[in-house]
Amino acid sequence: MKNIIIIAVLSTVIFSCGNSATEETAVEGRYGDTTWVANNSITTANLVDSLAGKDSVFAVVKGEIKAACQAKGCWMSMDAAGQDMIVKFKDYGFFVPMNSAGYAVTMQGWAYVDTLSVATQQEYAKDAEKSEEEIAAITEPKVKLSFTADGVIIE
Amino acid sequence: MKYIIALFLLTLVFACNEGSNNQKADMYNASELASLMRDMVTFSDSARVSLLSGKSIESIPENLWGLKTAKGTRDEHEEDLFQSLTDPYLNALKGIERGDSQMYYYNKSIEACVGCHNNYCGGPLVVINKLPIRGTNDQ
Repeated sequence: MKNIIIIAVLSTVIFSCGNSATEETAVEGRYGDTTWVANNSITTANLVDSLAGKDSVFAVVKGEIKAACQAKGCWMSMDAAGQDMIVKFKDYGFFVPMNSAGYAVTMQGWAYVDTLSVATQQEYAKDAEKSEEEIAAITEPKVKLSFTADGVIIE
Repeated sequence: MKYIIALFLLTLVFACNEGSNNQKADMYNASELASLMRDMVTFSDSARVSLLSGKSIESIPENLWGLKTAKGTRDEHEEDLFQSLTDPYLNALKGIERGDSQMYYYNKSIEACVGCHNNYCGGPLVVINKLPIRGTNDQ
């Protein structure tokens, strides 16, 4: 009898959560090209300092995902010293999970300041599931900190 | 016996709790329209290579003609603006099919893609903007 119960306990450990996310399907993972070295990363605040007086900066940056595109996962945003930084993915070549907000992320790529047209901002607002009123309130181009990532590691 | 049953239940609870920390990724599944547009890029890539090496575009994948009806991620295919923006692309395909000025109509097809993505989903522009064949006499 005892042996049967022990087998039942072990079976429970192995199979009870068989439908939970596996390593391949979890939010945590590598997306795009992640062959670079992640251990010399800088913070998003450091990135803002590095960019001062320059057109662009190539860096490995670590931070937290603030929001992700809710239509496809084709962009994400991060806080960088109090400003919103939009992160796009090189050559539109990969997407991140749409439920990746709040996760830590390390990424390599180019940071730069970009002017977003009204149409582009409205597209991002739609992707972020903003209300009709919020979308209609976008009427001016906006200068925004931007990042094009070769790849991202979500942890 | 009671202890064994308690152990069984605790194991069940903790095993499931550990699994729930590992949230499943909510990844995008390409819509019919998004898949079609990937095929459009593949076609344009190979057409570009052909034209640049002095060859003709031999055929157009049949599914590209379904641009007006392929279901979009946000049902863009139901919008009048989207429908009007598909016309220049389909007209360019007809030009390529006629075969008299394929370079010209190839560039027109890419122009049509840019025109549409200036209105819908600008992300792919980074790929599309690499596709025009520049510095030709458009023939």
